[in-house]
Amino acid sequence: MAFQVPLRGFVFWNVGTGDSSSVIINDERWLQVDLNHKAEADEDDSVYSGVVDELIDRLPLRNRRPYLAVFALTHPDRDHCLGFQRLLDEVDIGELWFTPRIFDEYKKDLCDDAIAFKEEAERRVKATIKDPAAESGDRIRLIGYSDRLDEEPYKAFPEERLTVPGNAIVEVDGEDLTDDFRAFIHAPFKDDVADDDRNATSLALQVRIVEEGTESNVLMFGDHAYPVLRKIFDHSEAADLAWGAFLTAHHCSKSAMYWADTANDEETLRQDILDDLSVNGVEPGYCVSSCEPIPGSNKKGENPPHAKAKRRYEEIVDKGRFLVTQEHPDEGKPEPITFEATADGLTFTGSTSASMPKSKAKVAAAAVIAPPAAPREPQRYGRP
Amino acid sequence: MVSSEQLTDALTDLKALEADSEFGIEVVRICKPKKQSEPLLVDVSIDCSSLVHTSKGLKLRSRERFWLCFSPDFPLDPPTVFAPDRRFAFHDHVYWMDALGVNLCVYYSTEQQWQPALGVTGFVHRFMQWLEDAVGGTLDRQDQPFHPPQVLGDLAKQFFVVRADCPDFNAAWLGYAVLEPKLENRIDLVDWTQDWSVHRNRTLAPTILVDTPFVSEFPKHVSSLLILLERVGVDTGALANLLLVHAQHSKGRPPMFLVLGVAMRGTIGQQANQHLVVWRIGDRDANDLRNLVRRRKKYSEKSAKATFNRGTTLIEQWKESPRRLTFCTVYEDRPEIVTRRDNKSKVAWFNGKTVTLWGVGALGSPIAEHLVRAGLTELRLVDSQRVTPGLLVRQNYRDTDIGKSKVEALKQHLMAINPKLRVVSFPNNLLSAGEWFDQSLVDTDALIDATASRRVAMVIDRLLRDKGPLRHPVVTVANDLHAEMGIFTVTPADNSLGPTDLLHRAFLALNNAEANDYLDAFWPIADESIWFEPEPGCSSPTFRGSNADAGALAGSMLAHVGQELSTTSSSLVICGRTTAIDDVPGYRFEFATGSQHTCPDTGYQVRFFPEAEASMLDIIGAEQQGGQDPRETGGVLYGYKDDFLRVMWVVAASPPPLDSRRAQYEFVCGVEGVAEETADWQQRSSKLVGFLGTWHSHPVSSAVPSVVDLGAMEHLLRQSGSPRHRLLLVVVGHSASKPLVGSYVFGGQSEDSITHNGNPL
Repeated sequence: MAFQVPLRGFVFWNVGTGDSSSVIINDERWLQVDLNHKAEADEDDSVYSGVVDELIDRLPLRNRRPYLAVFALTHPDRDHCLGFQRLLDEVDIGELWFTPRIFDEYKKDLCDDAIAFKEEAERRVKATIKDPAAESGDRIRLIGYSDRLDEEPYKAFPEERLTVPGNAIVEVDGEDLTDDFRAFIHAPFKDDVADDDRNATSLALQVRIVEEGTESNVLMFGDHAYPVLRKIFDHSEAADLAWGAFLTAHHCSKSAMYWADTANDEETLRQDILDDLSVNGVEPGYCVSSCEPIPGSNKKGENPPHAKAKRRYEEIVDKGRFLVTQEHPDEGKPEPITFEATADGLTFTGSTSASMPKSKAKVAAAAVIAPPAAPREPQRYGRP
Repeated sequence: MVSSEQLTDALTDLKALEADSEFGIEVVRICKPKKQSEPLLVDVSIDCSSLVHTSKGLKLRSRERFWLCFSPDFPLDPPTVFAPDRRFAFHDHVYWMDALGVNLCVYYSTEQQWQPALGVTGFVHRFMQWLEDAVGGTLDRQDQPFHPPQVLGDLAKQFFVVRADCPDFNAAWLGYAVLEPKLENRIDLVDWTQDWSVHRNRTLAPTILVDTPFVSEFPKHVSSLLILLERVGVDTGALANLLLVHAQHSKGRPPMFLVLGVAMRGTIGQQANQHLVVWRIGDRDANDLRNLVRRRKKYSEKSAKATFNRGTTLIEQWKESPRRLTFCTVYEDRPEIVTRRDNKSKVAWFNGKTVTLWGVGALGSPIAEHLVRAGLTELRLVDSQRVTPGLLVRQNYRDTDIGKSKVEALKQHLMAINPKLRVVSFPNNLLSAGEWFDQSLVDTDALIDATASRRVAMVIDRLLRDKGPLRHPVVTVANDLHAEMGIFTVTPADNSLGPTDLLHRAFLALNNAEANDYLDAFWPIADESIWFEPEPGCSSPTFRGSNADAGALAGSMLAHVGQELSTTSSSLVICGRTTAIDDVPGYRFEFATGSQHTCPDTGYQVRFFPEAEASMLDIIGAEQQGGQDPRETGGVLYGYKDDFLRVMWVVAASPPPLDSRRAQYEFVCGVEGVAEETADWQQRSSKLVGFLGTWHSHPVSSAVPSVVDLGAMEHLLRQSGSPRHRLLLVVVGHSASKPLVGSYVFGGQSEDSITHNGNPL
């Protein structure tokens, strides 16, 4: 691939509809948020990044092995952890970040990679309880609330390894990076940790890299839908919501801004969330959707990505700044979307789209009605 | 529910456009009116990705959101557009803030550019053009008038008539306007000075003129205005000095005004003249200023400086407080910006009659006077406009009428001519319904529409269509852009062909006669530049004719109208010219009504030209000769439609195309030659007439379409190019015995919902 990983910055891998985001904190430490290494990625001329292979090739080395400082799992859905087992086998992962929700999941409800994550998480929890100063490779950070933490064996879990929403993490695999990096935790909220819908328990965070005093902020809101997004904007301060890039929630799902309060209601547009997003965007803001190419329209009930959501996001960023991982720069030959954290702030460093946007405005054409054309075929009138 | 049928249609059309444009325009939210007087609000998202931005233009995102506001008067009034995003504010042709956002001025001249019959489609077409011009920075073309800034603050009761041309200056001119108080609240601005002592005994107003354009709208608050003034180089100190000198020299405590001029009158690309506004400074603020200068007992340089500093501090304090701006209405009469009109006229018929006159402008006001002098007993005047100085040249008003309602002023004028005359004035907008409407028409002997407005003509046609023929004749008069040619329509009592209908027919007749002079005069190819703006940017475009011609036309047409009303009972259109300088003849066309049917499902009215109906019956008659069982026959219909009036006109009905098949219970309508015939009609009628639908006969059954007929119409619609087309099916039932015609309108839907009477075909 022609793309280059930035010195410090963000990479949104083209992994289909799913998330795989790399945060290059510095030349020694990467944070990987979610993973979706699709089987098709291993085929020749695949349109998907083989993200585990890419990480193995590109991660910094420590003791001659690829070293990933932190792997953060927003929630254990397949499209967020696919390939984790192989990553665990072939990469040294210093620290895991995850929500305690994983302890409540039954294995039957999880894919193989999610089970691998659960087992590794539980192993490290034990190690941390045994030794709160567990070393790289055994480290974890629990994020969010859980009643489990009041029960055995988790009761003894050290408080310093727990972060609840409204707080920031500046320590990465044992190293304090206060001046360079910060991950502010927005969700999951206490009320949502036991939600039937796993998406509502997603980890949501603002990731900040600071270069020469200038912040580059990216919002990653997992698979959250409108109600939690609303809560995030209601509870958090503007500085923690600022974004130069926004990873659209749930792979450009319309549930971020179209919502029905009850099952009997029709879903309606919640413009407030778009207004709040817009207000907190820092010029030049980018929306990144990690998903397959977005169709012109969707059928009722279709999974994300949703054309409607794309149209709403296009209204809050400047032209050319709504990016889709499987469309960028070209649907036939996508590349990861990259941003560099520079002294001027977040800077887009990906390829410039070679072709014009596919969607030619059809409004003007549709607004001209030629007179009705004369019939081309004989028509039969008469009795049935 | 959306109450008005027209608003429902607007929504349907928008949804159809959404589908046709593949969400290029998307209906995001709909706020339906709760009361009939409320507008329909539609939140739309428009794909702007293909609009190429230039450095001069508005920067648009891939998609932009707009509120479309459809008033209850839609489609007589176009929708207004609001952009909720403040990025649009302070761009050219973007105006006042509303709860919905900033208003985009999409129509330079609603009367000329808005065609009610094209409805939502026409609007969207125009709006996309506006957006394209906005991103290209070409909204203001060279040679077009400036759009002077709007005044949005509160209005004072005083109003100004500006008589004197502004002084010449570079950059900025700070001085005083010389005022002459006239009638109560009216103040004439008659001169300008920078030397106070020369005008010691006159009323002056501090004045700031700048030679740069200003923002699109004056702010509502004093603080914002002061900031804007600083931006154009007038700082607090200069303003304080100007106001303090005025406060010191003026006597008593009269209202204090500040005249402000910005270079936004005239034509883009040329030297701009001043656009003037007058700020009435609050009495308390004016008194604060006076107190500062008048408490100074002895002049010294030190005390003057201290006063100046206190004045500056005082004005700085204005910046910090939320005091609102109050502006005075300004009526312009400066020779440098107001072009003189000319006019005079005479004559008529209507002795002892009651007449309702709509529009009392260039044609209406002389017609009113002619009517009065001709012995009218009662005159009802309807017009919502007010008298401005420039109108005096061509219309029947006086200097003392400036600022008054036209109908009130004209009433006084006419009463002065004939004190016994009964004049009832209705200062109402002809496009907005109200009680005045019926009151103005009750027991009248004639309605004369002298507005020369296509939209008002449509109001009359809609009245005729909805309520049936009226008991009095209806006349519309209009002139061409040079007031050399006139055209008028006469709809006699108990006749249903309204002015729009008659003008369509006249258009076809003039096309047949190749009367290009009249076609060019009354149906010009759209080009706004041929319209004339007497006060560029601040007046409606109008014709450029001289007073003599407009007056002559008014009198001449009124005389002809009187003659026609007294001698004929036909619907007719007459056009002619007053100046016999060449051999262009006049034309007089009489039109027979023909039969009319109403589609039972859509409510569309179908009007047959007599020739079309006759040819259908001839073809059916020919089919029956030969003694066998009668077969079905049919053919193609040519005509035109108006979706605002919900009328279709059948101009011609063809015989079966050569590849048709006729049978006892079946008619297959062929297509051989139909495309060519359609093209021929389009060419001969300057694109008015085209393919309208089909007709066929049912020899022994009723004039109701069969299931097969419905399927055929669905196929026709799909072949027509857009499901939004409306096509007509005419069935002649019992054609073998007693032919009865049924008319059915199909279409006007989005692709996936072609329905008839709400049921999928």
